[in-house]
Amino acid sequence: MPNVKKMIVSSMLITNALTIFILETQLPPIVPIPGIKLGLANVITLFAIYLIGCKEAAKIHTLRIILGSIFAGQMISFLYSISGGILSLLIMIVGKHIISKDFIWLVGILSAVLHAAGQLGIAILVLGTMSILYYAPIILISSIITGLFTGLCVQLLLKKHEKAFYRIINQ
Amino acid sequence: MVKGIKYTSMILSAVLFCGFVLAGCTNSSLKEKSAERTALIMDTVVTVTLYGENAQQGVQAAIQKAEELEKILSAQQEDSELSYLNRTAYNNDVVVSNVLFTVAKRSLQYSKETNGALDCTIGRLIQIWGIGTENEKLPNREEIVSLLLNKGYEQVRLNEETRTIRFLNNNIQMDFGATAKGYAANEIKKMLEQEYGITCGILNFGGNIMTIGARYDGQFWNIGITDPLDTTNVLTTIRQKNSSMVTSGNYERFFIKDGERYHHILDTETGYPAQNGLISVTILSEDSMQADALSTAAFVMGLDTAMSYIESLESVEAVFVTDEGSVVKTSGIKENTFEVVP
Amino acid sequence: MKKYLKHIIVGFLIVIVFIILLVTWVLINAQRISNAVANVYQYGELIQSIDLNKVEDSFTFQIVDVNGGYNTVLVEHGCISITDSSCADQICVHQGKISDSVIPIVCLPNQLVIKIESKPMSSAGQLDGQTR
Repeated sequence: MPNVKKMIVSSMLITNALTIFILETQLPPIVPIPGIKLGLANVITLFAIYLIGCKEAAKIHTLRIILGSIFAGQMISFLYSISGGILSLLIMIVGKHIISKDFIWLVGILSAVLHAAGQLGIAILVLGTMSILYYAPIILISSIITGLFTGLCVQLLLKKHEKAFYRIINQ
Repeated sequence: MVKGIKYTSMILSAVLFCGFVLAGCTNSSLKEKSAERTALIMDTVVTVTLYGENAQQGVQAAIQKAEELEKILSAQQEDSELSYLNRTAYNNDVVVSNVLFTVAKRSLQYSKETNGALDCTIGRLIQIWGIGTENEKLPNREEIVSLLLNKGYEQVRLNEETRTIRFLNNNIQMDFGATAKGYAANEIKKMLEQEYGITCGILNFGGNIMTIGARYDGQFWNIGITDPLDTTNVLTTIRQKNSSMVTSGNYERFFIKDGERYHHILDTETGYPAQNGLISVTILSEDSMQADALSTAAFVMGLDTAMSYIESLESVEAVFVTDEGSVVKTSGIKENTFEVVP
Repeated sequence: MKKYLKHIIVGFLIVIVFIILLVTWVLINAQRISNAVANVYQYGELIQSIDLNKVEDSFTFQIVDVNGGYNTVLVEHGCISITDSSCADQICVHQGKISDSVIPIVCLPNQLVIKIESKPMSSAGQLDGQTR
């Protein structure tokens, strides 16, 4: 895929990701439990991995986290986002290489779970106490659900418009 | 070359970005610039902990000043100015230093205001009990009765112009055990603030706490009150800033004989350790000498008298523990916080 | 059908994990602490310790952090909660009251944790000083 095209697609994707992210912060929390989010912006990252490649997807993902934290949150939320974000990105990349396209829903679950794990880890460090782990079961439960949704979204999207995407990538 | 520029600018922006993140994350660095010193002064362990610039010079100066004050106010040291006064002031106008005069004057004032619950003239009585020294003993009744003064604090004459002190009764010996530490805390705090610009620190004179400003992170200091029924535990924690906390308790200095506990806070009316229903009194005030004096006085007064007395004073609060273990606080302590609002 | 076999197996495993997590969560919620004391931690340091059973009149206090953020804590007989906060998500306010649960109230943005723990309180290291 020629560089310019990559750049254009990347910018569109990162704009989408940022918008989704910021819109999501405006939603009231579904449950009063710290760290549970819909994580919809991850759909873009996962999608980008399959559309334009890991490297570009990584840039989109990190830029979305950085800019998202600047625009919509305080610096402290950046720490949480980046710690979860890096882990979930890594599993997505690994997933692309060793898991087939039929199991993208699984990659979605794994990335959401790892995202939560990263956030819990940082929270323990920042708060200085292990007690936040008591929230782990419910947080992981919600991660499985949201990750499934994210993964399914991307999987079905890619499947349905396979031909269109193929053309975009290879022209 | 373009690639080189590209990479350097990437690294630079990454570094800059980290800088911004870290700047948003750090707490104040007052905590790092700290100094502490501990010394045995006035027969007690004195610890000075200061934060900020000049902390190091501050702690040295504080300990030094405490030692200077000890040379004047100690009742135990034979070569202190107070001991000299006690030896020579009966029916004799003795010229004293400004410090000794001020401490004597204020201690006598507190004695008067508390109607003798605190009495700084009972040095002889304290001596025959000797609690806290190697000579501690249960004196016999005749000895005690013979030393009872009727309002000893009214039998000391001070002359402001000549700065002299005279005892009008042969049994009077002044002892500032209940006020000297508080006075020292006040003076040292003043010196640290005015001469060293200290705005944050804790002075600990053998359990007599004086805080300077708020804690290094801007929060209140958390000062615990020892549980008199179990001195390994903390009874409760008070949040305070820039003020003093002094506790008088029956567990600090005492001896036990024949199953009875004889503690060091004497009731001047009976000559015996005060048994008026309280086992611990903590006074909170900006003025450490006042807190020191009132903690002893309130202990002797008993709960009801002490409670109404403290409530009648402005900007002074107290925490009482009765001999049944109940904790009673004065009305100004909301949410365990003591703050003097100017 | 055979095509979906792998999906079904993986899906089944995930459901098992899901159930385990659910059971764990229910068990955690059911745990109770004896000799409970509410400990308030800010930046990982204990700043307040309150024996909720000794509280007679309810009271509130505010915790402020260096960035101006605040949390208002309500202490009642037997329970403690956050009633107001400067944080954006207000999750801590909605977490409600805790009395003897192992699950803490957390305000991530203000780095505040309110935990119920059993006495005795940790040693004098948490205090800045102690009178004697």
